[in-house]
Amino acid sequence: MNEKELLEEYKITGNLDVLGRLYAPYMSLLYGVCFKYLQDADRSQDAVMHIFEELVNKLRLHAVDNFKSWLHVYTKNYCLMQLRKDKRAVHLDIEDNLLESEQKLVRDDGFKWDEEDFEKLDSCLEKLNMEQGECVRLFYLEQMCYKDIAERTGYDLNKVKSAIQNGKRNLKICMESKGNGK
Amino acid sequence: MENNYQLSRIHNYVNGLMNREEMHALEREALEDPFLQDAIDGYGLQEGVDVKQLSLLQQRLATRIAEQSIGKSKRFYGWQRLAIGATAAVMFVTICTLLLLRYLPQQKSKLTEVELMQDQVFSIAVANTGQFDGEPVIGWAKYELYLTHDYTGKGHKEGEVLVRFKVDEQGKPFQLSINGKEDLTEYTELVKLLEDGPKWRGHEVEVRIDLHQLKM
Repeated sequence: MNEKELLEEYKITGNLDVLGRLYAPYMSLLYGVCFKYLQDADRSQDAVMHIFEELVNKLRLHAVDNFKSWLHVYTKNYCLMQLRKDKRAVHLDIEDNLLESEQKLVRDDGFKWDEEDFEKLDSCLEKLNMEQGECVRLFYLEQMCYKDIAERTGYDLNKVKSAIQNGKRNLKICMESKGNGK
Repeated sequence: MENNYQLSRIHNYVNGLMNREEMHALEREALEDPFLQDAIDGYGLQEGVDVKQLSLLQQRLATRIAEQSIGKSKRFYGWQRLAIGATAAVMFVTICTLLLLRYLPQQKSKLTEVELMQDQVFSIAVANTGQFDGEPVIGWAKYELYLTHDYTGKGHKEGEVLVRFKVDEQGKPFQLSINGKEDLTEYTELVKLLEDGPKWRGHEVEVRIDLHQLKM
């Protein structure tokens, strides 16, 4: 049974075994996500279990198309709510939250690049600021990993990461404005 | 499983066990998959993957799922079911009481009716024609009482009948005729009472028996 069928079956039967089969494969990733926000091992474990409890009812009421990304967003929101309850100041890198809106934009596999597109890309790359341009080139064209880019450029690892994420997004926007949303 | 593979990749990435190409591949994947990116960030902050913790988490999930079946049986005696059970019990007792109340007075009235029917509904008179020597061993009066008492009126035919029969060596009637006919089908109860009743003496008997239903 695939994920969609499992979701359907759970919605009809409410059988926790089925929900367990859906949820278990994501638990380790979910724990990682929870730890990113809560930064506490016990709280993260509890969060993973609480989210499961919430899904017990939620998934009987709502039809979910893309379980993986739905679960990710749900978990993230859950953690943010926890932090808000703590009344702790939440320091979030805005990049991390912008990232997910890009998800759909980049999934055009059937697209073929032609000469014109490369020219557009070149001119868009030129428009990026120095950091972003440099990191994006090294990452996508030289196929270097973050660590090597950080060593090469002398930037902090996190800076490299966000420069690539920002650069990628800006490139996308630039390409779209040139009439190529592909 | 796919996600165990991802987890070991994350583990290797966070612990610097990957080569450059593998790191680049995972980073690229994570750029397309914010879920993966968040998980990598989380494990990065935790400085590694703690497999023990994760298997504990899997255990907690398994326990939680197993609880469902226990929960189900608990719910079996939940308030709804208990309420239904209690209502059924109350209804059962009520119906029993009503039946009992109805049944008791009915029994009383039945008793009086039965008495009336047995003693007063039929009157039977037996008169010897004196043609033959036969007579009941218990005497005519008692014989008449016997018939009156035991006659229930099954297939009753109103009126007087002339009954003639012979008495065998055991004092039992045989060769019965009623109103000169040997077809006795219309008087089966009377015949049965005569044949199975008190003994006779003598050789032959002729009697008039009046079967009369009293008006109530």
